[in-house]
Amino acid sequence: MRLPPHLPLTLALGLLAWAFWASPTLTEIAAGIALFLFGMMSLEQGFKAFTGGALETVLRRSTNRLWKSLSFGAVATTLTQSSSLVSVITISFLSAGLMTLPQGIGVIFGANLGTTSGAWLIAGLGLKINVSAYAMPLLTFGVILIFNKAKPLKGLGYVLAGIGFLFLGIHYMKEGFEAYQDTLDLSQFAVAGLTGLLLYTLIGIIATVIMQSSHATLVLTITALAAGQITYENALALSIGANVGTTITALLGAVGANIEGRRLAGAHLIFNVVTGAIALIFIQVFLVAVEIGSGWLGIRDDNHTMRLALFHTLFNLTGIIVMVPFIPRLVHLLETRLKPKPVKLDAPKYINDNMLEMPAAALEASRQELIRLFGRVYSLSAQVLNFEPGQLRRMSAREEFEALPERLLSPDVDELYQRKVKPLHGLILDYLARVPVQGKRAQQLVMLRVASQQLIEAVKHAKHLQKNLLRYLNASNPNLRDEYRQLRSRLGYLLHELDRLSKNPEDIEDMNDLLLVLDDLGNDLERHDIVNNGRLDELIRQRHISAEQATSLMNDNNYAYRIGKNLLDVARATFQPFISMDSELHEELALQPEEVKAILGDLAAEAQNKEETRP
Amino acid sequence: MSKSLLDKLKDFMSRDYREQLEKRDKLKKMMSKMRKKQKQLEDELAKEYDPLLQDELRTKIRLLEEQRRKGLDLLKELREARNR
Repeated sequence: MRLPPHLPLTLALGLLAWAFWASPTLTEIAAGIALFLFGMMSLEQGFKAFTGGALETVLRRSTNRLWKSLSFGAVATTLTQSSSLVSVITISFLSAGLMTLPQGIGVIFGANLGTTSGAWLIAGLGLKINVSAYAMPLLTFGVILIFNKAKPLKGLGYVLAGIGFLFLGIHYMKEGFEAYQDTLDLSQFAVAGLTGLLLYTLIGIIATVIMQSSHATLVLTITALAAGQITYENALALSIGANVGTTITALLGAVGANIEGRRLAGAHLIFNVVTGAIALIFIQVFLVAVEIGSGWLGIRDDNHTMRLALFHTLFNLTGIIVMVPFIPRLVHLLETRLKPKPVKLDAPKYINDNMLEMPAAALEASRQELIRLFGRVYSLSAQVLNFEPGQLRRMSAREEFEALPERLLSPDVDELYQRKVKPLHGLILDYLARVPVQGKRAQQLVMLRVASQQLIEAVKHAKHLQKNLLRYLNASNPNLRDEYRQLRSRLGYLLHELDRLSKNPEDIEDMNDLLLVLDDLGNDLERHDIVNNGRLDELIRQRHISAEQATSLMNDNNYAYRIGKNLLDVARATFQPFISMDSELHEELALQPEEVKAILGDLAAEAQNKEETRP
Repeated sequence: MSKSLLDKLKDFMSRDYREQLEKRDKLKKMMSKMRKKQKQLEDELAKEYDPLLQDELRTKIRLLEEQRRKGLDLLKELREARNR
């Protein structure tokens, strides 16, 4: 018998309603937790408003070294008070290829340390100061700013309101536990010894999984500890449990994520379980360390909340010190154990909906997806030209491009297009339409959309070219045959070069060099355009080819020219990360086809003059 | 007439002005790369005996010259815009 899908939720809500009716104090604590969680969500929402550019730039610059990524994780989590926001952004950046797995692991390790700042804030400030007094103005300012249309102000509004709700939540939890103090003594349930340690660790894990936040568990623990409802030892175990439990949230989040997200969640799980185990096994050592540390920091013996915060920080710090030397091994383990599912032909590899809220990452992922689509158009075009794509990739000498295969094949372009190009192209277009952009990013988005269209046009021209190419590559007229063979080898060479550049953009020192190489290839294309360089006229004048053959050659030359031109434009737009000013400059300096033609005309005239003046 | 200190400060604070300076620097770098490339092609041409390859190299040099001419025009434009 199948249970109704909403039964667990209905039961949980019913149970809560009954508990609230039975105990107004419990209502207060639960409302405190709810407000706290809502505050975290609001804070996350607020920080997302800043992910349009500044946050990404900071992230990219501050994670290129391990120590930097560790510090970044710690500082970012301290500022946002949300390790999940930092994890989500890290996963997006990993998926978009803007960050490597070791860097991502560094950020996550750092975030674990950063998350301990919450305990300090609450233990140090939250319990001493009446935080609810600050909550009210923060909420008011926050909500006023949320009504604002400007994105940064709106984001700031969410951040302020989020902090307000966090404070309010802490206040209600504190009040609730203080009220309990008079009626019910939870401390009678305290369990001593190893059993207590393990039991409360388990409770910490369960509480964190239910609330989906280790922060909330920790706040709850500290407020309960401050009210004397739980013992110091049990609170320590709860904080260890919270640390382990938080990885369940990350694991749940990673179910829908791509391979990089799952690997990062794996690293998170391993780190927290190892750290938790170290804390449990060496708890006596940690207690001594907390004792010594408290002496240094001047924390009084009875100030258990501050001691808990210190314990939390110490065992996370120990975890980092122990685990950092193993990062390369951890990366190796994750990469060998967690393998990407074989990508379905029409499934995107880089773009995913999680990234849509971060335009910079979304556009970068789209660019990489377009390079992938370029790879498919490359294979299709190579097959049309009767090159085996893999072999064409390995060719180097010009003669290799000129050699014809023993048997000419005629691949079904329509079928290849429908199966390999169209579905991915559709997904990219759909994705690009949903990326929220403005300003310079809008310019980049247009460039990417145009590039996707140019890829499709290249396929269309390849299909037109196929018909006569097969017919004339072995034509009985040697002149016509040579023209078609040259056309094939030139286009093959261009495809080979573009494929090489798409695979190894790092071979090229920088964007300027890439564009010089592409300009060179473009000039080759213009120079060999037989309609403009006079070759076609010469063939007709000399009666080397018939009028009908000339028409075919002219059309096919045009198709080949357009394939090359479209693919070169795609390469310019996608082979290197977008830098607005660079692309602007290159556009201004690039020679237009008519300018190239004029120069070629001048050169031809000069050559003729030289010929005539020669004695 | 030279600009007053206040005007200079205003320019410095202006985003457009800073962007123009950045553009100028990038353009200068690009131009120097193109010059080096042209020099390299000219050296190759001097050593080349095959008339076909000579033609090819000459064409490449001419195209680069044209691009550099456009770059110089742009640099001039940027300078004039900054002085306005």
